[in-house]
Amino acid sequence: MKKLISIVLSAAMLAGTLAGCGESATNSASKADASASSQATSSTVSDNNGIPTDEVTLRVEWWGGDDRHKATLKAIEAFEKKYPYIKIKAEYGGFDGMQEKVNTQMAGHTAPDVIQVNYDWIASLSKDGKGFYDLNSLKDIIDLTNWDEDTLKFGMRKGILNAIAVSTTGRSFFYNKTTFDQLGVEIPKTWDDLMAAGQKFQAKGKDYYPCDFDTGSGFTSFYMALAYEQQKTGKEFLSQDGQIGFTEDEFKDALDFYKEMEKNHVTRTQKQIQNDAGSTALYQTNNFISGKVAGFLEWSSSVGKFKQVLDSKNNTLVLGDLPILKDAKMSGWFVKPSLLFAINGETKYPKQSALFLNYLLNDPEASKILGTSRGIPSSKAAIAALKQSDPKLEEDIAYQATMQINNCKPTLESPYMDNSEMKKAYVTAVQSVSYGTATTEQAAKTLYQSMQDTLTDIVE
Amino acid sequence: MNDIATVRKKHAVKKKSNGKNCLGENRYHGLLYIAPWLIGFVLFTIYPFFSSFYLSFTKYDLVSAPKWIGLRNYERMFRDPVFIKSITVLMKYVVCEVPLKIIVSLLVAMLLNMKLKGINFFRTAYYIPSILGSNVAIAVLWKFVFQSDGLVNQVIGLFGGQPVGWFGEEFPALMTIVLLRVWEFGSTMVIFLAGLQSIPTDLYEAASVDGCTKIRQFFKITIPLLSPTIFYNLVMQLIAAFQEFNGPYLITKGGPQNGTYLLSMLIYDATFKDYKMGYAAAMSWFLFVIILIFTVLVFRYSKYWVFYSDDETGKGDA
Repeated sequence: MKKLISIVLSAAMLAGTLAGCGESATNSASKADASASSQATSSTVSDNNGIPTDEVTLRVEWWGGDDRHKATLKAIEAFEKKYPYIKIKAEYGGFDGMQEKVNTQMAGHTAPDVIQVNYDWIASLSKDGKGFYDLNSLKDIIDLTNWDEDTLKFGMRKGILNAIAVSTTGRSFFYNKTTFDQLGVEIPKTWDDLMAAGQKFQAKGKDYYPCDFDTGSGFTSFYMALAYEQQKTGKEFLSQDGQIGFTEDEFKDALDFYKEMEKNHVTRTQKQIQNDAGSTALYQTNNFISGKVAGFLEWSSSVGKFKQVLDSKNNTLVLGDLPILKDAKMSGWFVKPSLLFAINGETKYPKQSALFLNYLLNDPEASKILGTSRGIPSSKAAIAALKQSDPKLEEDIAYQATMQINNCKPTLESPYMDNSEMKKAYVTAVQSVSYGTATTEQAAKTLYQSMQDTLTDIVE
Repeated sequence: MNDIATVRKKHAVKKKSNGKNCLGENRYHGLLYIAPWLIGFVLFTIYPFFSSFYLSFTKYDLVSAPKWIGLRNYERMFRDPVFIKSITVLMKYVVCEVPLKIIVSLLVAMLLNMKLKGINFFRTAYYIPSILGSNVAIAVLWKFVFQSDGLVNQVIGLFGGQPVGWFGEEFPALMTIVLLRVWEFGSTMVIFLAGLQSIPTDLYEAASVDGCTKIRQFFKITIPLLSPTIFYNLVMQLIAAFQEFNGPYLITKGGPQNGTYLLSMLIYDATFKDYKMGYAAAMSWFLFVIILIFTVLVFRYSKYWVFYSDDETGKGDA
C-alpha cells in the first residue's frame, strides 16, 4: 500500500513536468470581435485632434535599464499633464524574460495598448502582418513624415506598418586607447591593421588582445565574419524575405576568416573566453576592466556601459574606423532598429495610443526628457530638439557610432537574422571551428543546412 | 503484530460506518473544503497535462491555431542533433549528480547526528544553502567562484595544481552545475537526519558489546535501517535532477558547445524563444517517459535492497 501511494505521488510530481507546456488555443475569431467593438466605443466628445476626451487608461510596456525607466516615467508624467484625460499605466522591467512575457500576453489577449518590441519579434508575432495595429491608418495622429523610408521599412510586415523604429543601430569597433598607447600600437583602420595589431599585442604580452569576438547571444564573431564576406562578395547574406544569399563555400570562407583572427591573436579563442568568466558580459570581466582585452565590436546603443567602466579606470574609449576591404563590393556592415514601438491590434483606444506614441517619439518636450535613453532617435523632430537642448551631443561616442553606421551605406538587417534558432546555428558553427571539433568546411555545411531548416520553418 | 492488525481492522470498520452516516450534506462539505486545491490541480496540472499531449501532435506557435501534424514532432526529435546531445548531457548530469548528492547529504547528516554542543547551530548553518535556492545572486557567485582566476582555481593553485578551465570545456562546465546542486544538500540531509534518529540506539549498543566496528555498524545497521529513507531520497532526487533547469540557465546558458544544454532548458527555449509549442510539448512528453521509466525501475528493484522493518504489507505488495 505504501508503495502504491508513493507511485501515485511520484506520478503526480511528474505531471508537473508537463504542466508548463499547455496553453489553450482560443479561437482567433475573438481578435476580430475585439477590434470591431473598439470602433463602436468611440465617444461623441472629441478634442481638436479628433481624439475622444473621455478619461481612459492606456497600458504601456517597455524594457530597459534604470536610466530609460526614469526618463520614460518622467515623459509619461509630462504627457498626462498635457492630456489630462489619458492616464498611462506603465509596465516595465529588464530585457530578460521580456520576449516570453510579450508572447504570453499576445497569446492570452492581455497585451498592453502600446508595446515596445524587438526587431525579430515582428516576424513571429505578426506572421500575416495583422498582429499589430496598422499604424498607417493612424497617420493623422502620428506624424510619419519624421522618418525616412528605410527606417519605416523596419516596421513593415507584408506591406503593413506594424511598428516604428525608435532608433537604429549597428555594430562598430571600439578600442581602449590607453592600452593601445601603452603598447605603442596604432588604432586599427583596416582588416589588415587589425591582424597586424593582434601580432603586435602578442609580442608585447600574451594576455593582451586588441579585440574580442564572442559567441554569446550577440555572436560578434559571426557578425564580423559576415560583414567581411559581404564586402568580398557583394551579396547579402540573408535577404529581407528570408533567402540565404551566401553559398556553402562563402560561409566556409567567412569561418576561415574568423579562424584567421584567432590565429593572429586578434581575439581570444572561444574556450578562453568561456573559461575566463563563463557567460558573464565582457564589460564585467577582469580582463576588460584591466585593459588586457582592448577592443570590442558593439551596438552603438549599448556602448555606454563599456564606456562607464573604462571612464572609472581613467582609460579612454575611442571609436575605430569600420574595417572595409580595399576592393569591397559593398560596405557589408549592418544596421537594424535597436527597438520599435507598436500598438496592440486589439486595443480599445487606437487613437489615444497613437497620440501617446506621437508624443513619445516626435514631441520636442518628450525628446528632451528622453534624451538618448533609447539610442539616438531616428525621428527628425526628436533629433532636432535633442541637438538644441544638448549642444555636446555630437561629441558623444554613441552618437558618433550611430552616424558612422548610418553613413556607411549599411545593409538592412534581415528580420530573420536575429531569430533565436538562427543564432544557435551561427554560434554552433563558430564554436565548432574554434574548439576544433569540425573543419570550417564541415561547419559551413552544417550551418547552411540548419539555417535552411529553420528558414523553411519560420518564413511564410 | 496480531494485536495491531485487529486494532486496525476495528478502525477501518468504524470509519466505514461513520462514512455511511455522513453521506449526504457532509460529503459535499468535504468536497467544498478541498475545492481550492482540486480546482488548482485540475486547471493547472490535469488540464495542461492532457492539452500538452494533444499539442505534441500539432504545430503551434502561440499566435495562430494549432495544426495537426501527427507524429512529425516525435520523428523530428530523433533527427535533431541538439536534442540527442541534450539527452546525453542530461544522462551524464543525472548519473553524476544524484549519487553524489545522496552520499554527501548522508555524510553530513551523520556528522550532524552526533551529540555535540551547539549542534543545532551547525544544522541550521548547513541547511542555509538550500534556502538560497537557485536565485540570480547564487548564479553570479558561482561564476565568480569558478572563473579562471576565481576562488576554486586559487585554492587548487595553493596545493600546486594547474588551474582548471571550468566553463570552457563540456565536462567541467557540467560539473559546476552538479556542484551547485550538491552544495544545496539541505532538504535531503534533513530527511536523512530524521531517518538516522529513528534508528533505535540499542542496536548500536548491542553491536558494540559484541565488538562490532563502527564501519561494520554503518553497513550492517545504519544502511539497512535507513534504506527506506535512501529510497525516498533517491526517487525524489532522480525526478528533480531530470528536471534541472535553473543551474544551466543561470550559470552556463547551456554552453560550451551545448555541453550543459539540459533537456528542460531546450524545452524552454523551444517554447518561449523559438515559438515551437508542439515540438516542446513532444519533448516534455519524452522527458516524462524517461523519468517514468527510471522511477519505475527504481521501484521495481527496490525490493532487493529496501528493508521495511515495521511494515507487514511491504513484502506482500512486491
